[in-house]
Amino acid sequence: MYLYEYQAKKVVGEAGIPIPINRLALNPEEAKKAVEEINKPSAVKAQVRAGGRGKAGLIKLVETPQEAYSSAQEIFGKVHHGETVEKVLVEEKLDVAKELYVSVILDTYQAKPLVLISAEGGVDIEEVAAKNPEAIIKVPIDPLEKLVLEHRWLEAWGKAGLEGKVLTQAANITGKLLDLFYKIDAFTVEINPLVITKDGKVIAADSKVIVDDSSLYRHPELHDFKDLSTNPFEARAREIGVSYVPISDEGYIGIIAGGAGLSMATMDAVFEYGGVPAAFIDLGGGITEEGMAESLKLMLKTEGMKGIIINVFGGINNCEIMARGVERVYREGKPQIPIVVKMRGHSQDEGWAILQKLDIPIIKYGTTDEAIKLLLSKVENGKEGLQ
Amino acid sequence: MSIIINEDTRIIIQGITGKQGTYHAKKMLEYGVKIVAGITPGKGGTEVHGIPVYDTVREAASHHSIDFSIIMVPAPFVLGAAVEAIENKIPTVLILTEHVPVHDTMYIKNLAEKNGVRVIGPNTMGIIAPGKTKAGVMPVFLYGNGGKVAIVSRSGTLCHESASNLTFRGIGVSMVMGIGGDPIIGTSFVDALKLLKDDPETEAVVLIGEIGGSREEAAAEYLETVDFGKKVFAFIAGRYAPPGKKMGHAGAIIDKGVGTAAAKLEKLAKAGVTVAGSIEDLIQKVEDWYNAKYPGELKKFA
Repeated sequence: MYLYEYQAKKVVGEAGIPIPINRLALNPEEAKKAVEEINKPSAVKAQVRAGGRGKAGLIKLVETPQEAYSSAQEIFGKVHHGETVEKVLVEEKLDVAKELYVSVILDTYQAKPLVLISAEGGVDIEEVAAKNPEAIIKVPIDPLEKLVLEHRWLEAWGKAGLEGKVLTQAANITGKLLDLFYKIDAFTVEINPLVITKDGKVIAADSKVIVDDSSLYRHPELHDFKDLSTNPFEARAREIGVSYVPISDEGYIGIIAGGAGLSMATMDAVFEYGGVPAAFIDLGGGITEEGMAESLKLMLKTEGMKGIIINVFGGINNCEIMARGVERVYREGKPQIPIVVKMRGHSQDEGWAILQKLDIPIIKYGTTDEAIKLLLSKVENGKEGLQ
Repeated sequence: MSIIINEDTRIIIQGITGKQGTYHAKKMLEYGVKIVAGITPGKGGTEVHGIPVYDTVREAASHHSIDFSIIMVPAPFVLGAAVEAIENKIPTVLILTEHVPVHDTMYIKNLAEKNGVRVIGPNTMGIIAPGKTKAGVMPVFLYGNGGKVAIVSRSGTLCHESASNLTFRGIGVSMVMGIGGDPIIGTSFVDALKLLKDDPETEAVVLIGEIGGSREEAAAEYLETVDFGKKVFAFIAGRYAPPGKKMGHAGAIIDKGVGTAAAKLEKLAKAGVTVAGSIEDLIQKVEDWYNAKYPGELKKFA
């Protein structure tokens, strides 16, 4: 889960790391009021997930509440990489003396948290890494070590050239950032830039937080931030307990498969043989009869759907249960588009028997490619699929 | 002698009394798997299909010799179950459960390395040495009775897909392992390749990867540095995935052009791996290799 800037700032602030004074505004009037309260020159920042906000005119510096109102009016409703601006963060403008960088990322390959520190902040860290790798100090952390003491951050920031009160503040912030990383089950907690103000304060001016979705069950404090996708199909799929992944707006083939790997391989095959997939549903493990029925109904409802491939195995799932789910949908009304099922594994004979009664073509042996070729020929022949 | 498991491997199932645990314990018993015990806290003293159930791994270990544990408990309990198995020095711990918090896996992996324990998974279908034994949920009749080709895959269902299609064409598999689809996993492609390099039963290896991450690239780097001495094939799922889009709950994602199928396949091809564009292409390429090596041996069925 990728947090919005205002959400990330909230968790960073609650971790005891200094952040700029800010207010979230849901309309221009609130933006105006926010600057009145902050009572300083401020920035009005659109809350969207994609980067490049500055260039897109989605961050405006304002001097007065009235300016905040008109800037917010311009920003609200703008669309940035498919996302409409519905919230702005109004934030005090900092007097910047220097910009630093600090983050804790999950190094999935080494299976360790990795703390990254740099005196070159405010720019894309990957650019720094490419151009000037020595400018980044990397501190790998042993996850079995519960106590990580401050001297480590003093050493690292000292190497980055900090001294005096600024050094101790940066070190303290780094320790708190690592604590936060563990506390919220983060993939990434990044502060960029970490600003040194002209009066010598160290403040997290911008932050990026990504949390592991699998851990959300133990983070009630993050539930308000849950990524409520605006796509009703993805939302419905979540209720069913499956994943709905839209692929192409021009698509007309629906894919229901077990597991991300097979789902993607099926998607690849549809493209490879000249079709365009609209979406896939990854059933995951432990699918029930009802879950299967609801998944098929959801795919049938997808706009422009002309044919569906169900590509599943009875492994952690069960063929009979999945076939019964399909049967349930047919009982409520036979779908008016061709459906091809490739199914084998646990309880395959029972599953095949159910599907055969429904006159659904089954690929019992053979590859995904064969199933896709059959489906695409049925879709192309149009009427034949309606038999 | 297969790698990691064979017909003598003594297995316990942590979470044996759950719905999945009970069902798959039965399937494994039918395959002749030596399941010596099951673990479910609070159910000690009971039995599942005649298998004794204990409250703790320690108690089970005091009554049985254990080589291998399969963890099938719900995600929130995986950390505790895995640490318990590691503390009892069970040599191999396989985590089938999906949706395990990644920080938990991070802790498990580090603790296991410190204790010399092998972890496989999480989010895996398991491992099978066809005709000998299995530790996992795979339908065994799709895996034949043994052969010369090993399959290592991030995706469990793509194991079923490739193993079944190879065996349908008469090409037997020596062992198939799902390494798991999560961001952090215990046993990687490289770890598997190192074991398979010295496995006398395996003459060729099929690697099935996915977009995202860098594990396939690491496999390519490993293959470039050693004289592997065996044929290697690879297929990467997700070559048409739209960038920046999370592909299902396991979360394969292409970020900033890193981890694309094209980049992975290029690196693998450079390391001498025969790369395939689709499942059909993969199966065909293995079949061509087999026919060239063992002319006239394949008899097709199905």
